[in-house]
Amino acid sequence: MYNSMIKSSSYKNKDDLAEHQFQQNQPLHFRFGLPGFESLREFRVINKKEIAPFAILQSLDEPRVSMIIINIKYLPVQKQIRRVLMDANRITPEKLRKIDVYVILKVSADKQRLTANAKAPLLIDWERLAGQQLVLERDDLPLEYHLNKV
Amino acid sequence: MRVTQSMMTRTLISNLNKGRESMSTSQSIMSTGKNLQSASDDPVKYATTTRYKETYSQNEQYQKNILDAKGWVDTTSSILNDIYSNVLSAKDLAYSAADSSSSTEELETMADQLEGFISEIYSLTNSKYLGKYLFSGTRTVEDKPFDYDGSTVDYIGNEGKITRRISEGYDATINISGDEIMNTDVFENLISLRDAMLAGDRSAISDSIGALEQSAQDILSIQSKTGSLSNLLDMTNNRLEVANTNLSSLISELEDADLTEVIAQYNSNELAYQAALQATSSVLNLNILDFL
Repeated sequence: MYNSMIKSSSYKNKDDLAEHQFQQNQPLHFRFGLPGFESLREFRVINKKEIAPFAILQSLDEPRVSMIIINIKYLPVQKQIRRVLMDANRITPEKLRKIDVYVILKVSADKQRLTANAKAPLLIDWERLAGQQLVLERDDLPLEYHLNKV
Repeated sequence: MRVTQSMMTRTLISNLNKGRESMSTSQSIMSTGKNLQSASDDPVKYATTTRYKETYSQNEQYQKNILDAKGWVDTTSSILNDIYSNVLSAKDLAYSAADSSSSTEELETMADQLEGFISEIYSLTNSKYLGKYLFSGTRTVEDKPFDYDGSTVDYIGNEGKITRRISEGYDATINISGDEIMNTDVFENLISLRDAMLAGDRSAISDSIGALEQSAQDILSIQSKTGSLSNLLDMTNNRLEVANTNLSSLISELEDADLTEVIAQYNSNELAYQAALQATSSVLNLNILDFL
């Protein structure tokens, strides 16, 4: 299902791609940490072909803290999230194009479903190497958005 | 070295016990879904998981506190809104009364209506939530905080703050004490207006309009405070929900076994156990005839 959703690279040339890949390997600073982990400020996004399109958000402060994430561009709910980010949070479309938006995944209690936290997306600015988990004050964006059966 | 039958038997039984122990662990993991049975399994991981679970429980408690606080705050806001509406209605009455065409009888009728607004507001200020007076400071279960004898309203509550801990290190004050309402002069202005109507004093009636307008604005200002607090409670609750979702994602990864892996391990152990059982059975089934 997800392989068919992976889009080809849109970079203009190899240098741009190389630059982006370099940035993606750099530590990211989360000024406010993550809700529940406010003291953890440094993270990395680890991309591996074997788990694509999923990635890992790894804390550099606490090795045991890592979460599985996915870029919202692979999810049907992406339009809704982007709209809320622009309307309620006043992020301009230009700014939104320059950042990556991810959601954190977890396995549901009955171990049958993978769910994504659409209510609190992760915003990653690769230029500034900064990240933030934004809590969207919207009831229509669920904490457990069902992706698929595991 | 000579390998005796008893040595072989002891070895086989030892292998069987090891196999059973291994299967038992796998079975236990499968039935609970957790591969962290006790601190001895992985002390550091166990300590980390315990710490996060404690944070999770603490967040749940904060959410309960927020729910309790929301009930109080939203009820307060609703009552303040009703008080505000009554004051606006009284102001409209004042405009009508200030009209020189109103007769003495009409003024008396309006005074009666105004008395109705005063009684209503007096009743609202003595409202309770879950058996406790809302506007009495911390004297929530004693006598009514406001006392009206027909000519004055006295406040006999205190200025105490009622707080709820809604996040680590943050206590939100959830109550509006009666002295804040008294400071709006709402009762004083309404009673003055009533008396002016009864006296037919149109000048005093006109003067009261500005005073009532100020009282209404002050009440609205207090209500805005409760509205802001209600928003803060909602936002804090949302953040706690997200925090606990993040925590449960991590606790799940730390504790919960990869079930595919566990089942594979279990099957592997079971095969080994069955093989050991068969070997033991062959050994123990030996009889004297096998040695002849």
